Amino acid sequence: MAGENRSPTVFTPSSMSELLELRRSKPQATLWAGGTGLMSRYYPYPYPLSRDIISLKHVPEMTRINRTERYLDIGAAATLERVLTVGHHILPPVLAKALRSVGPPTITNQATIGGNLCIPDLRLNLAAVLSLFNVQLELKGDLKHRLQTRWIPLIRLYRRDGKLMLQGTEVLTRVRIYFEEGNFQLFQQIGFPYQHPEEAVLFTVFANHGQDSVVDYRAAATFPSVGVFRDRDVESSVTSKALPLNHQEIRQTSRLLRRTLQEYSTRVSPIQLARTVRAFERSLILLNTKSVSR
Amino acid sequence: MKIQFTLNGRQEVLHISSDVPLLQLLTEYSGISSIRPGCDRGRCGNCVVLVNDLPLLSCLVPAFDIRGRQIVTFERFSQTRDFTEIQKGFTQADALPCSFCFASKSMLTHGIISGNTSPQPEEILQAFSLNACTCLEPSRIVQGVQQAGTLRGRRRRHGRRK
Ligand SMILES: Cc1cc2nc3c(=O)[nH]c(=O)nc-3n(C[C@H](O)[C@H](O)[C@H](O)COP(=O)(O)OP(=O)(O)OC[C@H]3O[C@@H](n4cnc5c(N)ncnc54)[C@H](O)[C@@H]3O)c2cc1C
Ligand code: FES
Ligand code: FES
Repeated sequence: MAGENRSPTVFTPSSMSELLELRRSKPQATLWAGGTGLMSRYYPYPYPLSRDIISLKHVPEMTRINRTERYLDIGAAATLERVLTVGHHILPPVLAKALRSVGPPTITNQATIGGNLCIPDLRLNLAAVLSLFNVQLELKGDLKHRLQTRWIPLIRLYRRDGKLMLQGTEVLTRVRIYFEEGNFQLFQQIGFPYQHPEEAVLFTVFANHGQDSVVDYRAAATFPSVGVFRDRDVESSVTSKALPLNHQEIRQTSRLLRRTLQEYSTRVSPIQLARTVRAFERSLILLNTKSVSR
Repeated sequence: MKIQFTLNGRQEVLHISSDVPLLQLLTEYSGISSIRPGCDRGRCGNCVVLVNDLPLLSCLVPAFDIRGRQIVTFERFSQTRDFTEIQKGFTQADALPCSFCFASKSMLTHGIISGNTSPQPEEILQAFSLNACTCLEPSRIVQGVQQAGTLRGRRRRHGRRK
């Protein structure tokens, strides 16, 4: 029957301790969340090698979503569709838009927030937008032969070159998003991150402004095959500026962004550079328009 | 691996490699002929089945993940009242899809209107983003789904769900 001799052994732990024990005893096993990345990209069937699989979705803590006054706690194996449903009315609009942009419900009914953040060689639609908020990630696993839990800010999940920084047998178990209000939010997907990672850009802004000035401006961009980019100098060149920004100011800040991006990585392609600068300038023009129409 | 699941209301047991995609399991081992795959990698959107009443792409679901779950394919779905309503909605909107894609498009529509009988155009177009084709204008698809939603809503209000 269908390659039974290479049928992977599937482990379905039903508690966190069982999951961590399996992870410790089978460090080479593939962690399986929604499987949309694994089935479409990494292990298309028939995959020639036998391997062990650890399925994450039967561990209740991994799929639970909890809401408090200050934050939303999302189990890493919760599907994106559930995050959208439970978070309806409370997710910042920019995050809801990014979640929707991942794909149609046929994908988001299955793909998980952990899988989106931990896919090995691609930074996808959620990384940049989550980097704008105070987002803490809970990691559990064996570090120096001891079972440990640590919390890190999202940006520390990735190295500068975009690679994942999970250590030892760590598993991403929870994503905690602190609520914030922003009266200017923007998410833009330009190109196709999965199919053309060297050309696509995910650009996002979260800002607060009054009628006369920008109070807080945060922007980030994901270059799928390179990493997540966020720069405080670029942000502070907009924060505290009087509104509307004039043509000269927009040109100056976008020149600063271009220079910073060139220094950030030589792997950002010319088309990604051009797309990011345009998206950034567009965001400033939209900000101007919005402040004038208030 | 022993895979036990319910297919179109019938209990099935297969001994099969644990990572065989559901698409292959259904077409090669369970005699299902309604699925018309166009890519086998999650790109064409044309292999939709209902798994516990949620529309999923069967090429992305591994066999081990369907243990204990209810799978419904177009063979059974097309005999339900949910389907006749969707067919009626699309016909009234002059938007009936061709036989190649109607199986997936109707189950996708079922997924949308089960949650919300008055979906907005953006929600519909987003849900159909993989299944877009050049034979039907997007506005027609929107009207078809909205009309099906209206019919579903009416039936719910009258409390006559089958
Ligand atoms: C054709 C197609 C196009 C797509 N295009 C996009 C796109 O443009 N943008 C986008 O955002 N998404 C896209 N997606 C969806 C994408 O696959 C998911 O967003 C996500 O990357 C995978 O989520 P998953 O839960 O299915 O992960 P899986 O496929 O189960 O796992 C992905 C990887 O993450 C690891 N992993 C999973 N969970 C954890 C965890 N908790 N801790 C540690 N490691 C973990 C796995 O071991 C694996 O290596 C697309 C999907 C398809 C099929
Ligand atoms: S066969 Fe194309 S999406 Fe499944
Ligand atoms: S492919 Fe069926 S209507 Fe276009």
